[in-house]
Amino acid sequence: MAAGGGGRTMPGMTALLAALIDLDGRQRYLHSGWFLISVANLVVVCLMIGVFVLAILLPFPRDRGDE
Amino acid sequence: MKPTWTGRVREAAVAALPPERLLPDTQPIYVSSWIYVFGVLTLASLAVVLFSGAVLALAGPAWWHGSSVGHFFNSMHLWSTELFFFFMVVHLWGKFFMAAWRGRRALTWVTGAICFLLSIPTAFTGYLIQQNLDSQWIGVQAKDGLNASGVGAFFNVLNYGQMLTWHVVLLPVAVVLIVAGHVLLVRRRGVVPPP
Repeated sequence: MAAGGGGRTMPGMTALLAALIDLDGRQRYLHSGWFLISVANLVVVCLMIGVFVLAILLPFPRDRGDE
Repeated sequence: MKPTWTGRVREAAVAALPPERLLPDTQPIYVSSWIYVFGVLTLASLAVVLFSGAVLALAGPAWWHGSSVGHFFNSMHLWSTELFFFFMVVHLWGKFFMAAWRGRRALTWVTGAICFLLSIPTAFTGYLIQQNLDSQWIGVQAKDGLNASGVGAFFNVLNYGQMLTWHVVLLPVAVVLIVAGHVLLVRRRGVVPPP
């Protein structure tokens, strides 16, 4: 399906991104016993945990007048 | 005490939220941390969700299928929703590990939790009104689960009109009201300090 809708051809950048991350393909899952999660959801969960850890560890920029 | 109910409401509102507390120009020093920015990031995402949703509502739910501009606004609506949930979950984790219900802030915590719970059916009904095979698949799968719980008699996921009105009127109004209450409670009790 064309990214711009209406059956048009993909613009260059969209085609490049679509080649990197195929959002139209079959979903991939991680499955072990009772545990089942799609790779897409796992990526989002890992990103949230990463952002959470960075938000705690990274120093917050302050005005020089505050120091 | 004022003789009219409007006067009494005004007095109570100003006593609970004087202007300098409603719109403060300073914040405690402990707010200077990245973990404190996720609440406002959630609000910013919600603003984009509401704006893009309003544009989609103006043109109608089928617009995005045949128009590149409609497709753009549909994508903006989807990704701002993704970011809304992303930031809200990080905000929730931050507040959970801070035990943010301390200092008479229980109602602030509860309204945040209700906002999270209300946002789930709001997004869910959005997926149901995409008018494509995806929404049909989600609706048919969800029908059995909801019918098993007894909710199906009142909330029929295969009723397109009902899902549309839930998504564009009832649930967004509920989310916006609860978010407004949440923000006012944050102003009233102040931002929770680190433990």
